Amino acid sequence: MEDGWHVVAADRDSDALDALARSSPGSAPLSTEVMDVTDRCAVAAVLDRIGTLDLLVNNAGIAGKRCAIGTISEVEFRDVLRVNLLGIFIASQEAVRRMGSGGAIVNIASASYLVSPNVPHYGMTKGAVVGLTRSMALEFRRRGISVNAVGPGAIDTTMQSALSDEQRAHLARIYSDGPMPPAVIAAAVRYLASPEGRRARGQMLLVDEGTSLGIDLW
Amino acid sequence: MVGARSLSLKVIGNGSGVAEAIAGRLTDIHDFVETGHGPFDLVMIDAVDEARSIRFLDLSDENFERLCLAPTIRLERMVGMARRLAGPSGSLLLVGTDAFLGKPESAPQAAAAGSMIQLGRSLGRMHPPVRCNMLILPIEPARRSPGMFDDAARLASAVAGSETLCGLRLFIDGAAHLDSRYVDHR
Repeated sequence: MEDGWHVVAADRDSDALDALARSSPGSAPLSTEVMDVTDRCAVAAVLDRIGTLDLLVNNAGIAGKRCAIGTISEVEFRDVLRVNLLGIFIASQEAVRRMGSGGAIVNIASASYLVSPNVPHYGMTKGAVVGLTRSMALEFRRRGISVNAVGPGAIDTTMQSALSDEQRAHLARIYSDGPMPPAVIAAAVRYLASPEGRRARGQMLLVDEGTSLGIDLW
Repeated sequence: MVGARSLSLKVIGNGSGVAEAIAGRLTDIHDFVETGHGPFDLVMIDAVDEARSIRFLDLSDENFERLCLAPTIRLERMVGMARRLAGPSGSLLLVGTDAFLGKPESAPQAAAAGSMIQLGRSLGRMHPPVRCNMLILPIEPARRSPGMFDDAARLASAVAGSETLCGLRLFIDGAAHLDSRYVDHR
Protein backbone atom coordinates (compact mmCIF):
# COMPACT_ATOMS: atom_id res chain seq x y z
CA MET A 1 0.00 0.00 0.00
CA GLU A 2 2.96 2.30 0.69
CA ASP A 3 3.90 2.00 -3.00
CA GLY A 4 0.46 3.09 -4.13
CA TRP A 5 -1.01 -0.35 -4.70
CA HIS A 6 -4.69 -0.82 -4.08
CA VAL A 7 -4.61 -4.10 -2.19
CA VAL A 8 -7.46 -6.59 -2.20
CA ALA A 9 -6.96 -9.12 0.58
CA ALA A 10 -8.90 -12.36 0.13
CA ASP A 11 -9.28 -15.05 2.76
CA ARG A 12 -11.86 -17.64 3.70
CA ASP A 13 -11.57 -16.40 7.30
CA SER A 14 -13.78 -13.32 7.58
CA ASP A 15 -12.61 -12.64 11.14
CA ALA A 16 -9.01 -12.42 9.95
CA LEU A 17 -10.05 -10.00 7.21
CA ASP A 18 -11.91 -7.85 9.72
CA ALA A 19 -8.85 -7.79 11.96
CA LEU A 20 -6.68 -6.76 9.00
CA ALA A 21 -9.09 -3.96 8.09
CA ARG A 22 -9.19 -2.74 11.70
CA SER A 23 -5.41 -2.69 11.95
CA SER A 24 -5.00 -0.64 8.76
CA PRO A 25 -5.35 3.13 8.65
CA GLY A 26 -8.79 4.27 7.54
CA SER A 27 -7.31 5.94 4.49
CA ALA A 28 -5.44 2.80 3.37
CA PRO A 29 -6.28 1.59 -0.14
CA LEU A 30 -7.37 -1.81 1.12
CA SER A 31 -10.47 -3.84 0.47
CA THR A 32 -11.30 -7.33 1.59
CA GLU A 33 -13.07 -10.29 0.06
CA VAL A 34 -14.16 -13.51 1.73
CA MET A 35 -13.06 -16.17 -0.72
CA ASP A 36 -11.99 -19.81 -0.87
CA VAL A 37 -9.10 -20.01 -3.33
CA THR A 38 -10.10 -23.54 -4.34
CA ASP A 39 -13.52 -22.32 -5.50
CA ARG A 40 -13.05 -21.26 -9.13
CA CYS A 41 -16.38 -19.44 -9.34
CA ALA A 42 -15.65 -17.46 -6.19
CA VAL A 43 -12.16 -16.54 -7.42
CA ALA A 44 -13.51 -15.44 -10.80
CA ALA A 45 -16.22 -13.34 -9.17
CA VAL A 46 -13.71 -11.54 -6.94
CA LEU A 47 -11.38 -10.86 -9.86
CA ASP A 48 -14.29 -9.52 -11.91
CA ARG A 49 -15.14 -7.09 -9.11
CA ILE A 50 -11.50 -5.95 -8.94
CA GLY A 51 -11.36 -5.11 -12.63
CA THR A 52 -7.84 -4.17 -13.67
CA LEU A 53 -5.30 -6.50 -12.12
CA ASP A 54 -1.57 -5.85 -12.08
CA LEU A 55 -0.28 -8.22 -9.42
CA LEU A 56 -1.41 -11.53 -7.98
CA VAL A 57 0.19 -12.82 -4.78
CA ASN A 58 -0.68 -16.47 -4.19
CA ASN A 59 -0.31 -16.55 -0.44
CA ALA A 60 -2.94 -19.07 0.72
CA GLY A 61 -1.41 -22.06 2.40
CA ILE A 62 -1.93 -24.60 5.15
CA ALA A 63 0.64 -26.78 6.88
CA GLY A 64 -1.49 -29.86 7.24
CA LYS A 65 -0.93 -32.75 9.58
CA ARG A 66 2.54 -33.54 10.89
CA CYS A 67 2.95 -37.21 10.06
CA ALA A 68 5.19 -39.62 8.22
CA ILE A 69 4.98 -40.39 4.52
CA GLY A 70 2.45 -43.09 3.80
CA THR A 71 0.44 -42.47 6.97
CA ILE A 72 -1.75 -39.52 6.02
CA SER A 73 -5.28 -40.12 4.74
CA GLU A 74 -6.04 -39.12 1.17
CA VAL A 75 -8.63 -36.65 2.43
CA GLU A 76 -6.09 -34.91 4.64
CA PHE A 77 -3.43 -34.82 1.93
CA ARG A 78 -5.95 -33.52 -0.59
CA ASP A 79 -6.80 -30.63 1.75
CA VAL A 80 -3.16 -29.53 1.70
CA LEU A 81 -2.82 -30.06 -2.05
CA ARG A 82 -6.00 -28.16 -2.84
CA VAL A 83 -5.10 -25.05 -0.86
CA ASN A 84 -1.35 -24.99 -1.53
CA LEU A 85 -1.38 -26.09 -5.17
CA LEU A 86 -4.79 -26.18 -6.81
CA GLY A 87 -5.49 -22.74 -5.36
CA ILE A 88 -2.43 -21.31 -7.09
CA PHE A 89 -3.44 -22.95 -10.36
CA ILE A 90 -6.98 -21.60 -10.22
CA ALA A 91 -6.11 -18.10 -9.07
CA SER A 92 -3.25 -17.76 -11.57
CA GLN A 93 -5.32 -18.98 -14.48
CA GLU A 94 -8.21 -16.66 -13.68
CA ALA A 95 -5.84 -13.76 -13.03
CA VAL A 96 -3.84 -14.14 -16.25
CA ARG A 97 -7.09 -14.15 -18.22
CA ARG A 98 -7.74 -10.67 -16.80
CA MET A 99 -4.17 -9.38 -16.71
CA GLY A 100 -2.60 -7.22 -19.37
CA SER A 101 1.00 -7.22 -20.48
CA GLY A 102 3.33 -6.23 -17.67
CA GLY A 103 1.51 -8.01 -14.89
CA ALA A 104 3.21 -10.02 -12.20
CA ILE A 105 2.49 -13.15 -10.19
CA VAL A 106 4.31 -13.99 -6.98
CA ASN A 107 3.79 -17.43 -5.50
CA ILE A 108 4.55 -17.81 -1.81
CA ALA A 109 6.35 -21.14 -1.51
CA SER A 110 8.56 -21.99 1.46
CA ALA A 111 12.18 -22.63 2.32
CA SER A 112 10.99 -26.15 3.00
CA TYR A 113 10.81 -26.71 -0.76
CA LEU A 114 14.43 -27.80 -0.33
CA VAL A 115 13.89 -30.39 2.37
CA SER A 116 11.28 -30.86 5.09
CA PRO A 117 11.65 -33.98 7.19
CA ASN A 118 9.08 -32.82 9.76
CA VAL A 119 6.25 -31.77 7.47
CA PRO A 120 6.74 -33.89 4.36
CA HIS A 121 3.33 -33.32 2.80
CA TYR A 122 3.56 -29.56 3.15
CA GLY A 123 7.07 -29.70 1.73
CA MET A 124 5.90 -31.72 -1.28
CA THR A 125 3.39 -29.03 -2.15
CA LYS A 126 6.04 -26.34 -1.87
CA GLY A 127 8.41 -28.27 -4.12
CA ALA A 128 5.51 -28.43 -6.55
CA VAL A 129 5.00 -24.66 -6.35
CA VAL A 130 8.59 -24.12 -7.48
CA GLY A 131 8.13 -26.36 -10.52
CA LEU A 132 4.81 -24.69 -11.30
CA THR A 133 6.40 -21.25 -11.01
CA ARG A 134 9.12 -22.12 -13.52
CA SER A 135 6.66 -23.56 -16.03
CA MET A 136 4.30 -20.58 -15.73
CA ALA A 137 7.20 -18.14 -16.05
CA LEU A 138 8.30 -19.72 -19.31
CA GLU A 139 4.80 -19.81 -20.69
CA PHE A 140 3.89 -16.21 -19.85
CA ARG A 141 7.25 -14.68 -20.66
CA ARG A 142 6.18 -13.55 -24.11
CA ARG A 143 3.03 -11.99 -22.69
CA GLY A 144 5.21 -9.83 -20.48
CA ILE A 145 3.89 -11.37 -17.28
CA SER A 146 6.50 -12.22 -14.69
CA VAL A 147 6.05 -15.24 -12.45
CA ASN A 148 8.34 -15.76 -9.47
CA ALA A 149 8.26 -17.32 -6.02
CA VAL A 150 9.31 -16.32 -2.54
CA GLY A 151 10.53 -18.98 -0.13
CA PRO A 152 10.01 -17.79 3.44
CA GLY A 153 11.75 -19.36 6.37
CA ALA A 154 9.93 -19.25 9.71
CA ILE A 155 7.48 -16.34 9.77
CA ASP A 156 5.60 -15.10 12.80
CA THR A 157 2.09 -16.17 11.72
CA THR A 158 -0.65 -18.38 13.09
CA MET A 159 1.06 -21.33 11.35
CA GLN A 160 3.72 -21.13 14.06
CA SER A 161 1.14 -21.68 16.78
CA ALA A 162 1.14 -25.41 16.04
CA LEU A 163 4.81 -25.73 16.95
CA SER A 164 6.01 -27.44 20.10
CA ASP A 165 8.06 -25.61 22.71
CA GLU A 166 11.12 -27.50 21.52
CA GLN A 167 10.54 -26.33 17.96
CA ARG A 168 10.05 -22.74 19.09
CA ALA A 169 13.31 -22.90 21.01
CA HIS A 170 15.03 -24.21 17.90
CA LEU A 171 13.70 -21.32 15.80
CA ALA A 172 14.75 -18.83 18.46
CA ARG A 173 18.24 -20.28 18.25
CA ILE A 174 18.67 -20.34 14.47
CA TYR A 175 16.99 -17.00 13.67
CA SER A 176 18.50 -13.77 14.92
CA ASP A 177 15.31 -12.70 16.66
CA GLY A 178 12.96 -15.67 16.42
CA PRO A 179 10.53 -16.13 13.52
CA MET A 180 10.68 -13.22 11.09
CA PRO A 181 7.86 -10.67 10.82
CA PRO A 182 5.56 -10.96 7.76
CA ALA A 183 6.82 -7.57 6.60
CA VAL A 184 10.05 -9.29 5.55
CA ILE A 185 8.14 -11.31 2.99
CA ALA A 186 6.09 -8.30 1.94
CA ALA A 187 9.35 -6.56 1.08
CA ALA A 188 10.42 -9.49 -1.10
CA VAL A 189 7.06 -9.40 -2.89
CA ARG A 190 7.38 -5.66 -3.29
CA TYR A 191 10.71 -6.14 -5.06
CA LEU A 192 9.41 -8.85 -7.40
CA ALA A 193 6.39 -6.65 -8.20
CA SER A 194 8.54 -3.62 -8.99
CA PRO A 195 9.53 -2.78 -12.57
CA GLU A 196 13.06 -3.93 -11.78
CA GLY A 197 11.95 -7.10 -10.05
CA ARG A 198 9.74 -8.09 -12.94
CA ARG A 199 12.88 -8.72 -14.97
CA ALA A 200 13.32 -11.81 -12.80
CA ARG A 201 11.42 -14.77 -14.20
CA GLY A 202 10.78 -18.17 -12.71
CA GLN A 203 13.01 -17.53 -9.71
CA MET A 204 12.72 -18.66 -6.12
CA LEU A 205 13.78 -15.91 -3.73
CA LEU A 206 14.71 -17.60 -0.46
CA VAL A 207 14.20 -15.33 2.55
CA ASP A 208 15.28 -17.37 5.53
CA GLU A 209 18.27 -15.63 7.17
CA GLY A 210 20.45 -18.28 5.56
CA THR A 211 19.07 -21.16 7.61
CA SER A 212 18.94 -23.28 4.46
CA LEU A 213 22.71 -22.88 4.26
CA GLY A 214 23.14 -24.96 7.38
CA ILE A 215 23.23 -22.33 10.10
CA ASP A 216 21.73 -24.75 12.56
CA LEU A 217 24.88 -26.83 12.26
CA TRP A 218 27.01 -24.17 13.93
CA MET B 1 29.94 -53.58 -1.96
CA VAL B 2 28.15 -54.06 -5.26
CA GLY B 3 28.69 -57.49 -6.71
CA ALA B 4 29.78 -59.02 -3.41
CA ARG B 5 26.38 -60.61 -3.01
CA SER B 6 23.06 -60.71 -4.72
CA LEU B 7 20.99 -57.60 -4.19
CA SER B 8 17.25 -57.94 -4.17
CA LEU B 9 15.18 -55.55 -6.26
CA LYS B 10 11.55 -54.50 -6.39
CA VAL B 11 9.92 -52.15 -8.90
CA ILE B 12 6.67 -50.38 -8.09
CA GLY B 13 4.94 -47.31 -9.40
CA ASN B 14 3.28 -45.68 -12.35
CA GLY B 15 3.93 -48.45 -14.83
CA SER B 16 5.32 -46.13 -17.48
CA GLY B 17 7.77 -48.86 -18.47
CA VAL B 18 10.78 -46.64 -17.75
CA ALA B 19 11.65 -48.14 -14.36
CA GLU B 20 11.08 -51.61 -15.72
CA ALA B 21 13.43 -50.91 -18.63
CA ILE B 22 16.11 -49.77 -16.19
CA ALA B 23 15.52 -52.75 -13.91
CA GLY B 24 15.85 -55.11 -16.86
CA ARG B 25 19.30 -53.75 -17.55
CA LEU B 26 20.19 -53.73 -13.85
CA THR B 27 19.88 -57.47 -13.59
CA ASP B 28 22.35 -57.74 -16.47
CA ILE B 29 24.96 -55.45 -14.88
CA HIS B 30 25.22 -56.94 -11.42
CA ASP B 31 23.86 -59.79 -9.49
CA PHE B 32 20.47 -58.25 -8.91
CA VAL B 33 17.53 -60.53 -8.44
CA GLU B 34 13.87 -59.63 -8.54
CA THR B 35 12.23 -61.51 -5.73
CA GLY B 36 8.65 -61.63 -4.60
CA HIS B 37 8.99 -60.59 -1.00
CA GLY B 38 11.00 -58.13 1.05
CA PRO B 39 12.83 -56.60 2.61
CA PHE B 40 14.54 -55.49 -0.59
CA ASP B 41 17.95 -53.91 -0.99
CA LEU B 42 16.65 -51.61 -3.69
CA VAL B 43 13.11 -50.43 -4.36
CA MET B 44 12.64 -48.50 -7.59
CA ILE B 45 9.61 -46.24 -7.75
CA ASP B 46 8.36 -45.27 -11.18
CA ALA B 47 7.21 -41.66 -10.86
CA VAL B 48 7.48 -40.80 -14.54
CA ASP B 49 5.17 -37.98 -15.56
CA GLU B 50 2.81 -38.26 -18.49
CA ALA B 51 4.09 -36.29 -21.47
CA ARG B 52 1.15 -34.21 -22.60
CA SER B 53 1.47 -30.58 -23.66
CA ILE B 54 -1.44 -28.32 -22.73
CA ARG B 55 -1.26 -24.54 -22.60
CA PHE B 56 -1.67 -23.24 -19.06
CA LEU B 57 -4.76 -21.26 -19.96
CA ASP B 58 -6.33 -24.29 -21.65
CA LEU B 59 -5.85 -26.61 -18.67
CA SER B 60 -9.07 -27.78 -17.07
CA ASP B 61 -9.37 -28.60 -13.39
CA GLU B 62 -9.65 -32.23 -14.52
CA ASN B 63 -6.34 -31.95 -16.38
CA PHE B 64 -4.70 -30.58 -13.25
CA GLU B 65 -6.16 -33.38 -11.18
CA ARG B 66 -5.03 -36.11 -13.58
CA LEU B 67 -1.57 -34.73 -14.34
CA CYS B 68 -0.64 -33.27 -10.95
CA LEU B 69 -2.79 -33.94 -7.90
CA ALA B 70 -3.53 -37.63 -8.51
CA PRO B 71 0.12 -38.52 -9.36
CA THR B 72 1.32 -36.63 -6.28
CA ILE B 73 -1.06 -38.52 -4.03
CA ARG B 74 -0.06 -41.77 -5.72
CA LEU B 75 3.63 -40.98 -5.23
CA GLU B 76 3.12 -40.39 -1.52
CA ARG B 77 1.42 -43.77 -1.23
CA MET B 78 4.09 -45.53 -3.29
CA VAL B 79 6.93 -44.08 -1.24
CA GLY B 80 5.19 -45.13 1.97
CA MET B 81 4.92 -48.63 0.54
CA ALA B 82 8.53 -48.57 -0.67
CA ARG B 83 9.77 -47.71 2.81
CA ARG B 84 8.12 -50.82 4.16
CA LEU B 85 9.41 -52.94 1.28
CA ALA B 86 12.96 -51.68 1.62
CA GLY B 87 13.38 -52.39 5.27
CA PRO B 88 15.31 -50.22 7.72
CA SER B 89 18.52 -49.91 5.73
CA GLY B 90 17.35 -50.28 2.15
CA SER B 91 17.77 -47.93 -0.74
CA LEU B 92 14.94 -46.15 -2.55
CA LEU B 93 15.33 -44.91 -6.09
CA LEU B 94 12.78 -42.54 -7.56
CA VAL B 95 12.59 -42.55 -11.34
CA GLY B 96 11.13 -39.26 -12.52
CA THR B 97 11.32 -36.62 -15.19
CA ASP B 98 12.95 -33.27 -15.82
CA ALA B 99 9.59 -31.49 -15.93
CA PHE B 100 10.40 -29.74 -12.63
CA LEU B 101 13.02 -27.67 -14.45
CA GLY B 102 10.14 -25.80 -16.01
CA LYS B 103 8.54 -26.94 -19.22
CA PRO B 104 6.16 -24.61 -21.00
CA GLU B 105 2.74 -26.17 -21.57
CA SER B 106 3.50 -28.75 -18.88
CA ALA B 107 2.65 -26.90 -15.69
CA PRO B 108 0.91 -29.79 -13.87
CA GLN B 109 3.79 -32.14 -14.63
CA ALA B 110 6.29 -29.48 -13.51
CA ALA B 111 4.46 -29.29 -10.20
CA ALA B 112 4.21 -33.06 -9.77
CA ALA B 113 7.88 -33.52 -10.60
CA GLY B 114 8.77 -30.71 -8.18
CA SER B 115 7.00 -32.52 -5.38
CA MET B 116 8.92 -35.69 -6.23
CA ILE B 117 12.25 -33.89 -6.02
CA GLN B 118 11.34 -32.37 -2.68
CA LEU B 119 10.25 -35.72 -1.29
CA GLY B 120 13.33 -37.45 -2.65
CA ARG B 121 15.53 -34.98 -0.80
CA SER B 122 13.57 -35.19 2.43
CA LEU B 123 13.38 -38.96 2.77
CA GLY B 124 16.98 -39.48 3.80
CA ARG B 125 16.53 -36.92 6.58
CA MET B 126 13.23 -38.41 7.68
CA HIS B 127 14.21 -42.01 8.00
CA PRO B 128 17.96 -42.56 8.27
CA PRO B 129 19.64 -44.90 7.43
CA VAL B 130 17.18 -45.29 4.55
CA ARG B 131 18.69 -43.68 1.47
CA CYS B 132 16.77 -42.17 -1.40
CA ASN B 133 18.13 -40.95 -4.72
CA MET B 134 16.54 -39.86 -7.96
CA LEU B 135 17.07 -40.73 -11.60
CA ILE B 136 15.85 -37.89 -13.83
CA LEU B 137 15.04 -38.66 -17.45
CA PRO B 138 13.47 -36.48 -20.14
CA ILE B 139 9.70 -36.23 -19.88
CA GLU B 140 9.37 -36.59 -23.64
CA PRO B 141 9.64 -40.29 -24.54
CA ALA B 142 11.21 -39.37 -27.89
CA ARG B 143 14.17 -37.84 -26.05
CA ARG B 144 14.91 -41.05 -24.16
CA SER B 145 17.46 -43.34 -25.78
CA PRO B 146 18.55 -46.91 -25.03
CA GLY B 147 21.89 -45.49 -23.93
CA MET B 148 20.12 -43.46 -21.26
CA PHE B 149 18.52 -46.61 -19.86
CA ASP B 150 21.93 -48.29 -19.80
CA ASP B 151 23.39 -45.33 -17.90
CA ALA B 152 20.40 -45.24 -15.58
CA ALA B 153 21.01 -48.89 -14.71
CA ARG B 154 24.70 -48.22 -13.97
CA LEU B 155 23.77 -45.34 -11.68
CA ALA B 156 21.03 -47.37 -10.01
CA SER B 157 23.56 -50.06 -9.30
CA ALA B 158 25.94 -47.53 -7.78
CA VAL B 159 23.42 -45.95 -5.44
CA ALA B 160 22.00 -49.32 -4.42
CA GLY B 161 25.41 -50.48 -3.29
CA SER B 162 26.29 -47.26 -1.49
CA GLU B 163 25.82 -46.54 2.18
CA THR B 164 26.42 -42.81 1.83
CA LEU B 165 24.81 -41.55 -1.38
CA CYS B 166 21.52 -39.89 -0.55
CA GLY B 167 19.33 -37.11 -1.95
CA LEU B 168 21.07 -37.06 -5.33
CA ARG B 169 19.34 -35.93 -8.48
CA LEU B 170 21.06 -37.83 -11.26
CA PHE B 171 20.25 -36.35 -14.65
CA ILE B 172 20.34 -38.82 -17.50
CA ASP B 173 19.57 -36.58 -20.41
CA GLY B 174 22.69 -36.04 -22.50
CA ALA B 175 23.44 -32.81 -20.63
CA ALA B 176 20.13 -31.21 -21.64
CA HIS B 177 19.70 -29.90 -18.10
CA LEU B 178 22.79 -27.77 -18.65
CA ASP B 179 20.91 -25.74 -21.22
CA SER B 180 21.28 -22.28 -19.71
CA ARG B 181 17.62 -21.97 -18.84
CA TYR B 182 17.69 -25.20 -16.91
CA VAL B 183 20.86 -24.72 -14.89
CA ASP B 184 19.84 -25.00 -11.27
CA HIS B 185 22.44 -24.63 -8.61
CA ARG B 186 20.30 -26.01 -5.82
